[in-house]
Amino acid sequence: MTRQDAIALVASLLLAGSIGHVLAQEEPPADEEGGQPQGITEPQDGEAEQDDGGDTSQADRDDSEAPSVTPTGPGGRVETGSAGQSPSGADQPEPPHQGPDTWMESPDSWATFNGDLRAQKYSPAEQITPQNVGELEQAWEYRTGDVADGSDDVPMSVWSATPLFVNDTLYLGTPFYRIIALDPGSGEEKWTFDPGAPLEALTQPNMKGRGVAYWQADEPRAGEACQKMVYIGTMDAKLYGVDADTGEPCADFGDDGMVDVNQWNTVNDKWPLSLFQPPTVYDDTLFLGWAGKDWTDAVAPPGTVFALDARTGERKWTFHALPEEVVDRTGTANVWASMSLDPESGLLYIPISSPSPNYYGGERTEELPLATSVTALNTETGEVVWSRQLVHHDIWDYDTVAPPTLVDIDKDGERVPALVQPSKQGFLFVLNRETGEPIYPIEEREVPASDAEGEQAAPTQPFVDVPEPTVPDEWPGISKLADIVGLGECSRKAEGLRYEGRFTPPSVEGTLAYPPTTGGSQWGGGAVDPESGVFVINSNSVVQIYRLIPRDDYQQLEQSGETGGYYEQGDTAYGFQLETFLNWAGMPCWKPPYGTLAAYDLTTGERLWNEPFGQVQKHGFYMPESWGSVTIGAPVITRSGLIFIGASMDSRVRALELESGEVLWKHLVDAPAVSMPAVYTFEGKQYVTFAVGGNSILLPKVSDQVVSFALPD
Amino acid sequence: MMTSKVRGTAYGAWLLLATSAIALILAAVATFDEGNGIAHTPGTYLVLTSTALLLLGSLLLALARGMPRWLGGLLALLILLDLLGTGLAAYLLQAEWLLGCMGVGLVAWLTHVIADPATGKRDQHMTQRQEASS
Repeated sequence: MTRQDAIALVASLLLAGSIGHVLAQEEPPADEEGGQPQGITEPQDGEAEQDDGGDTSQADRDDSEAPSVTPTGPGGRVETGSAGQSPSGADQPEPPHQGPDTWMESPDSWATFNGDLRAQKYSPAEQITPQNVGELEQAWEYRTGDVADGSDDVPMSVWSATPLFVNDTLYLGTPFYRIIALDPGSGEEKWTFDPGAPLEALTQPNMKGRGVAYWQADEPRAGEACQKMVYIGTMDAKLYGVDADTGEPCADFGDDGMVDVNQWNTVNDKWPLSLFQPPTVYDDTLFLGWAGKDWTDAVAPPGTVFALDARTGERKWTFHALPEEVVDRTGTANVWASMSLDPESGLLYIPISSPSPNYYGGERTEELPLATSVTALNTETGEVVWSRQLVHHDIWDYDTVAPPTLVDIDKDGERVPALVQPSKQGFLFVLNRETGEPIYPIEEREVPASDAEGEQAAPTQPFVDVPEPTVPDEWPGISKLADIVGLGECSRKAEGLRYEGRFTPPSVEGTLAYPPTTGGSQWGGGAVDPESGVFVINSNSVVQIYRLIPRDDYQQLEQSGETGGYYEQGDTAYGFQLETFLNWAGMPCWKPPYGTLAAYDLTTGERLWNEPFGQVQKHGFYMPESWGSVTIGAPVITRSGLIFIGASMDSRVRALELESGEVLWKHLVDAPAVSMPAVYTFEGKQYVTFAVGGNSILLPKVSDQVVSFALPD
Repeated sequence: MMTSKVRGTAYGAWLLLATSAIALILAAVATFDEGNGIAHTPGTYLVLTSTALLLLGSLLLALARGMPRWLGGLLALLILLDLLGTGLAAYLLQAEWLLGCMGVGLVAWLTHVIADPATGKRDQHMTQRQEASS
């Protein structure tokens, strides 16, 4: 037994609750959308009506225009709004060629959620290097005040905002839907905007927010308000636009600065279209997806993406991901993660989630080709240019979870316009972003059939071998330590479960799912160095049990009050239980590591390194580094060869060497930094700024801290 | 004649007492100093309790010289377990100063066991016999 093993053994025995207990509390999957039915109260009809009627004048305006609907792509539709341009109707629509918005291309700024539209999460800043990063120190700290631990009437806050640096200002959106403008060099407050949004868990159990978006006119007119605007969405589907210099609402945007997006929630409007993810901004247009819940109902609002005029909020077009004929049996297939956009071609890349309900598809057996796909839309018309489905007939909640990262790579002597699409399955799909064709092979392989009544699992699924998946093909196997502590419980439990490799369908006896909905890569996605073609991504190795529960039995469970981990799935044949594979003591029954960070050379597909990342922390105790940590958040790469990332359970932010994956610097913050940092240069000084919000999935630890790091003067 | 001066100074016990006092302060800081990543966690409350017990045990070891030998031995054993347990907890809490303190405490404990004058009634009896024979 090595020293490390000995420490691990003793630590585990002492801390029987360690990370397993954390995962046991993991009511929702690690994504923002996947499933947390517990304690959710659906909005009452009256509330829905109130939402619908909240913006009467605008709704009337839109209704009166009788927008045209055009089929697009395999099963999609696009509805042209008053400010939109009708689709060409051609079989192969030509993408527009707009070119990038110049204000967004500054190398010093961090102007969008992912740093730039291509979701590269890359900064050309070089002041902080692998040689001097050890000297990094806290430059300033700010507290928003918008934090809740769930102990009072306000639900717990989950804050995953990327701070934006643009217009010489640092902009933040809080989980209480306030906008805060700060001095980027000192952290001093410039102004705040409070929409007075209700602090209620209308769709998610927590107050969630991923920040703000910024837009400015190509040639702002001096002295005129709202030539530069900041936007924030709310859980109750309101989108606010304010002046970026003063924080005053922009009167021309919607109704006095607010667009009620729920006015377009007209089909299966059981809950509001929650706007946690800030819109993508390009060519004076806001591209907007939404979040909801796809575990409670089978019939739910069908997935849509809206394009709005950035100045007025008028709708240009609405993209529908589901065919009209299935919306009386299913819904969602929405876009809740961020999007990426090629500013040269004008193509918008949207990660589309799975249809509802998450884990049983007996009511939606027809092909829904746009569901669980990456799809390229024409930004001017909303037409589908190409689409690639990543999971057929998704019954695992494998939502396409993150924006594809756009990067040109050298392949066989040619410069290829590529994208890298991460997934919960752990596959990295590397595609030609102009055509959707694979650059590295995608192979359709036979997968196990479902034994659930009425279910028709797809006979094949797409597999990717190169680049090597972020999680192994086979589940890690039983942890001897957990099995010993559990007196053989893990082994006994595993023997009773169905497991036939990837894509084993959910079953009544229970399916061992690896990777499950919390596994693989999550909403942060990866980062790329566009010069070297090195792609970096964090991922989770988690084992969960998927169990279908016949409706009659599920009703009895409900009556017994055991709702924890149980998802209703509407009135389909089965309810569902999601359970993390733990022993009695709450220890994970599978072998570590539980989280890794990996780097890939996109020109060859080779994985350069793959290291356990972060540390699990429970009861204050840190588990061995070799175990890694489940992570939520994303890395950022700088030209100087550094990776900056928070994301881990141990409430630390780190800098790693891109070449080796070695941790060169780390700093304790108030809670897990479940976001991505902003890296920017202001007045000649490079800053790395983290929003530290915490997430109940990782730890019951939340914060409102914003902390910025820089080299000493 | 039984006097304390024949037993000499128990340097190990006194060093252990001093280390325990410092460890208790460090554990209190770890427990109540917000922003250290471990404050107000069960882990810090555990080391706060264990260092308090360590201080109590060290006090007995240093001051209660007349206890039976078996009790002194049991106390020393419990103190050793406390040192090791607190040290492991400090390691897992990444509380380096507390871990260092436990290292010093271990040295003090060894000093006590190896070099400190024997304590307890049996030792006193032996001393009397030695004095009588001289």
